[in-house]
Amino acid sequence: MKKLLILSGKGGTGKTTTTASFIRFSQAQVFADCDVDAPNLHLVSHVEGNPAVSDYYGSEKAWIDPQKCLGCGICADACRFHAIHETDGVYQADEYACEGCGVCTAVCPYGAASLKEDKAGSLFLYDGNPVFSSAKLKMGRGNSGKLVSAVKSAMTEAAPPAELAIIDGSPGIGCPVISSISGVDLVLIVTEPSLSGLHDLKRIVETASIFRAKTAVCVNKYDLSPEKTAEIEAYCQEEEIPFLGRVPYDPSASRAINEGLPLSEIDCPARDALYEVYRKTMSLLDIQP
Amino acid sequence: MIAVPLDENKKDVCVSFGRAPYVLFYDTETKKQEICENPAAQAQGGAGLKAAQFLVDHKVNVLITIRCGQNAAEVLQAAEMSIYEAQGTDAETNLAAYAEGKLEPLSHFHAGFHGKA
Repeated sequence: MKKLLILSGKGGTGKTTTTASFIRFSQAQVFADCDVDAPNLHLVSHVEGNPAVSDYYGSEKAWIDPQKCLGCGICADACRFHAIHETDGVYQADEYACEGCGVCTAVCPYGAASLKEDKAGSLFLYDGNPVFSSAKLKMGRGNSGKLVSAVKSAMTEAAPPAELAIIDGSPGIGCPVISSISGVDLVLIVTEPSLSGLHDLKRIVETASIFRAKTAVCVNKYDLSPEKTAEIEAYCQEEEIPFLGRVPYDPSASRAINEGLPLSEIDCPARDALYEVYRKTMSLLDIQP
Repeated sequence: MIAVPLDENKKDVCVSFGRAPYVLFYDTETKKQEICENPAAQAQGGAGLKAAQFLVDHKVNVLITIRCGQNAAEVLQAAEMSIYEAQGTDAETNLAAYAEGKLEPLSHFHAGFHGKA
């Protein structure tokens, strides 16, 4: 099974729109949303039925047993994250400030402090036809990269023998993005012709190259700045990155997407241009479109 | 004993040392190979350190890897392990290249991907 990952560097360039359309174009049986901080592929890629939901435990956090705590405050003094505070004579750990280092469990003379598994998010798996794997990270949790790995393994384990899996990634170049890159066959970067679009494109290209991932680029809303589009194309040529096409800005496309329809379902020039990008992407993956 | 971090396909060298799903152990005396799951792959943090400890426990003295972070390198160096830079994609070719003395020692250790050394 070939894995195609769709990234952008900058947010809001049309990554999920592209992913949802590629899912329709290819009638993909296997796909995943690895943007665990802000998953939204499900909004434009409807899947029938209910997903299996499972808890995701990222790391451990301190818990101080109020029955055993005598209020000495040794733990609060030892906590370098200032995560332990006193209320009504007993100490409690703040789940958002605690990093789970466990120093409180080592210093507490009364054995009141322990580490407990902390629910960091939920995993959702539609295990039918198609297989769709996604997740939601809880507020303030820092295990997004690990959760992305869990989303991808859930997808791979449930996947039927299919030729292609399509993965929607997250913006940026951080931990969840790096985690989404591992093991994919091609990263398609959807960018836009703006100063920040080009700037962030360079950052994601560099990140992907550190992890030796094959990349290709397309420009969405290219006619908003033909000059910047030309600059992006020149950059791709210089870096020897396959440039797979330009998709025009289309107000009717935006309207349809807001109604929950992928661009693939609307008869417009943007759809045709995106189909061309899809065809070239499949050819890079050696898959018959 | 030689160790190589492996990808999911159990054939190619993994770009990540700490979070590689598997590790290939090659015993240069018995010429036997063994592929083990990397217990550090699912670590909550400090995967590089844990993977390094795993290698030390397996009495590895040569590591062939694409990259290695600073924290892991400190453990490996304390255990006097030699670290060589992998070339190409698959582990077999790298074992052969090492045997022929064609691999270069890994000279750069990155500071990690979490903004702290």
